[in-house]
Amino acid sequence: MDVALLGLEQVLTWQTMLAVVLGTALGVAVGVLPGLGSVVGITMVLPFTLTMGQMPAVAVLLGIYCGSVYGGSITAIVINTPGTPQAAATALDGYPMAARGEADLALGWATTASLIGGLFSVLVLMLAAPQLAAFSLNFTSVEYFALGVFALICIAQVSQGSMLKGLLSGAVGMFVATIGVDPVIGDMRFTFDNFALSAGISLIPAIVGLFALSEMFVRIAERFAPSAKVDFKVGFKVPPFSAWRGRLVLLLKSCLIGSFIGALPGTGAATSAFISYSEAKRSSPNRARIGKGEPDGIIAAESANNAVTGSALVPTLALGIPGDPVTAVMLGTLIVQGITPGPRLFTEHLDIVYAIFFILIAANVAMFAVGAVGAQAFTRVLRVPESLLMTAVVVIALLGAYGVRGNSLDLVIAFVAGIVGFVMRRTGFPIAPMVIGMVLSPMIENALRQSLMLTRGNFWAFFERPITLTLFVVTAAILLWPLLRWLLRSAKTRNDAQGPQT
Amino acid sequence: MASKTPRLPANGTSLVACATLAASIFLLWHTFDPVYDTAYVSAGRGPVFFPRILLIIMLTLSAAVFVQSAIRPRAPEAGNTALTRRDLMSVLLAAVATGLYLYLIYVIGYLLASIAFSFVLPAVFGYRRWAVTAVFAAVYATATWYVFEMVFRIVLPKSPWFIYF
Repeated sequence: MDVALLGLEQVLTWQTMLAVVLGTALGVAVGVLPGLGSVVGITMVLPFTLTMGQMPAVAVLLGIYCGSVYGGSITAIVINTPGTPQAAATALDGYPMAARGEADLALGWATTASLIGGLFSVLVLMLAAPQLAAFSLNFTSVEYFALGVFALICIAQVSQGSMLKGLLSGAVGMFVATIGVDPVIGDMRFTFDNFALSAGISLIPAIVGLFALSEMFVRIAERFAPSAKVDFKVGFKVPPFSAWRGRLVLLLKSCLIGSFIGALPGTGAATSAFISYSEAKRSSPNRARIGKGEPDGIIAAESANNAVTGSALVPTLALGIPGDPVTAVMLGTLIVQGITPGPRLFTEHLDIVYAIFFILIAANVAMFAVGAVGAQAFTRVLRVPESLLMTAVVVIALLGAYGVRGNSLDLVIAFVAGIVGFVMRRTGFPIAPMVIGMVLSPMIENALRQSLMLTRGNFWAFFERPITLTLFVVTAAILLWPLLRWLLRSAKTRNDAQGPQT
Repeated sequence: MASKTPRLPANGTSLVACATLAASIFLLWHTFDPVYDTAYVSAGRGPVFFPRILLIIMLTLSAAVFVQSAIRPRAPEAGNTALTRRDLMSVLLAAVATGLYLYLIYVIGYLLASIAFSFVLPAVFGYRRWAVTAVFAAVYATATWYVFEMVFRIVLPKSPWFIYF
């Protein structure tokens, strides 16, 4: 208890509190701008943290981290352009809600779910950091492969209604992600001697094209079509508790998914958001409405991606293993600040660990406040004439696509992806599976090839590992359950039909 | 809004399936190029091992989508409208404007190209308040340039005539 109070004392200084608020506000701004994700935000302030005290420096970084993961959802909801890849799942229900005139409520759902997800992950970090870190060490490439295959269920879940098209879209996304350098051997693949292509097809330009540019083309095509005038509600509306009541199980499940996946190094918020979204689509009582502007979709995506923020720090703090580029940059900064993450941190500097927990809590609360206060401005954007708004979106989105790597090819990719996205939307091919495929493909390929090296090409050895076997069984059960249910219903209908005759 | 998108005049699904099928066949054939011979050294699990699996899946799925779209009569989705020639021309114009913008970014720099694009695109949308568009184009392009170039320190393409932009 004394150690916890010592940690709290370190956090409750005006410098640290100011750093939390400024860091979170900057994080939200960075998340809102397409292409500028958590890594850009953190690296941008790195030089400033060197001159700061230990706790304010950590506070700025954690504030940016939490704020940027949430910030991407704002543009996803308001203008159908996810600011970050992890917010792509949020757009699937957030934007239809905004288009229905409920942008204020959609932002309220997203912000509240993000806050709860973030706070839940802090709780997980506090209670289970050493245990989760130890469990995640059991994950070899074989388990990662099984997890990747499990995550592919998302493609099937978001493709309901046009399954074949969705699966094809997902397969194309997975293939596109393989263009460039082979991650295992380092050879070039499908570059056709084009040097620029050797850097591969980056996710951000593809998302910018598929969502933002295709949206522009679709709106131009529709501008003569008669449509109902939508009254966009400006502001921020927290959903009442009565609306949450039937969704608490979903919220808890999404938080658990985000926390568990976040604790696994190398998975990330985008993967957890899609897995959680697909689980909501499978099991939510309102699943029929998911994808058409249902708050369950927003809750699933936002609580899961923000639940990653705390648990992603589990391997970083407890083992000194950064799970993704964001935590890698953060790890470096912590070391510069005299905090050496690893098992000894929990035994020798528990006050610092507690201080980090409290900073994360403060960052999540600040994130909610920034979202609530800034929502007026964010939703007011919707009242700008459509032509000017879409122009602004396209310019900033293309700028974001360029800004990631400063590579001219990224602009071409965004443009081509825009046309592809437009054609897909006009022909009924869902876009989300393509993005999911691009997110999961590198992880699955790496894990598969490393696993085959480990098992000397014996795929059946994958099934000898209990975690892998469990994941495969769950995957098969989820995929086969609709077929089994259909067979059972058909058999029952046949029996009922034959009953009166006999 | 976006969810009610009109369909292409031709059977777009079949066309997309055909294009994906053709691309899959070509790329699958390409994976047997001698340039990927390291695949043999690595016991068949070289650089094209995983893409080959994906291409076979793509090939199968695109064939299935093609057959499905050919067999099943095309039922128009509720709320969808047909794409007129005027709509198609507008989209084409927007695509040309965007393509030209991306090219001009490297010729006259980000700022000047963005001012021009921000002025032209609203017109493609049918917005005719020229004074508003001009102010919007100048202010918005300059603001985005300032934020990215000066605040985030992301170097943007410059024009050949000015030092700063």
